[in-house]
Amino acid sequence: MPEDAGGHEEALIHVAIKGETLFHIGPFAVTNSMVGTLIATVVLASLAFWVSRNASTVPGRLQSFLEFPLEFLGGVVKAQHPTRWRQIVPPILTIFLLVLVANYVGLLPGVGTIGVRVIEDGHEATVPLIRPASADLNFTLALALIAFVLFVSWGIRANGLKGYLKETFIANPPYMTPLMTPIHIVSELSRIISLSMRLFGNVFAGEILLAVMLALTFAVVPAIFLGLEAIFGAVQALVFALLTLTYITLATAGHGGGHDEAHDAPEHDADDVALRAGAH
Amino acid sequence: MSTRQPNGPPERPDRTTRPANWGLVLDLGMRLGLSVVIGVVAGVLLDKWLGTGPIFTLVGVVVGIGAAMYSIWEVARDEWKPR
Repeated sequence: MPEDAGGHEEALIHVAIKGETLFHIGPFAVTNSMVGTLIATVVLASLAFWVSRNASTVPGRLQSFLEFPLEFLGGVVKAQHPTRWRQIVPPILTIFLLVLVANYVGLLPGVGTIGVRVIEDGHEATVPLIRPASADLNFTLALALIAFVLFVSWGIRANGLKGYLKETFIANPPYMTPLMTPIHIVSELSRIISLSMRLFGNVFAGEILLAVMLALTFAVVPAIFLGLEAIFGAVQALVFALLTLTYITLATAGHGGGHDEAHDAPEHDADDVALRAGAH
Repeated sequence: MSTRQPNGPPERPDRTTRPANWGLVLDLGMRLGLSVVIGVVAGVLLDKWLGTGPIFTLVGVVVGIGAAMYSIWEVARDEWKPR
């Protein structure tokens, strides 16, 4: 283990399960994962600003590349919700893009390797300046809670508050309610925890894997894992967005319903034209 | 998401519904385990708090397993509906 100037031993690989505090603004602690989230937000906002200013009817290469997620996720949402896709696409796409960019921030050079000296528990320590947002459970849990609010609100919009509460808290037949209500609550809780832990676990494990490979190997080997992490980052973003969509679909279906709207809607309607017009 | 035909072999999901099914498959495996863990942890905590062990732990196991089964049922019931 290398030693720093103060005589403290520093580990070869820096692993911290929670975001580390860089500085305080009053009582508010600013962590390195907040810096990662801020970078992801700035990148997304800049791209959105650029696209809104420079979008053309005949898209160029960059515009086509940026429109690809809209077309792909728009198609998936439209297949599930032919009449409501216009309201559902924006939050699903926002979740996808935010998670994607937040995951890719972790792959940038300097993230996790450039550190700052901070005083921690009375002694000096080196803390990475930037940590990918998804490698912090606070970020993934917050996103999962937003997804939870989304699918519950869609459940209420589709079935009405009374219908949603009845479906969640009153079983059919009613004498099963004492058993089914806790089951429903545990099932809803498992959704939030599953969404947040999956994303956090995958990105955090990826960060550790990259750090270990950088410490133990050299040259091309870490680059292979970097490539794998790029794939996993996109897959995890897609899984998070699609699961939110699936939960919305289940919430809007209700007990007696299914995806009935899908069977009533014509195969090609005005929305099809709108989706294409919105994409190009 | 339906792949079931009333009279005939199951139809392959089309290009637009397939991605949503991937997410569902990835999610179900995790929720099966998590539901039981949540039930047991809640039961153990309740028992510690009320000093009633092991009653709520056992109830938690039952509720957790029930929630895991319910997660599958919730997805499957749409597919079993007569069309």
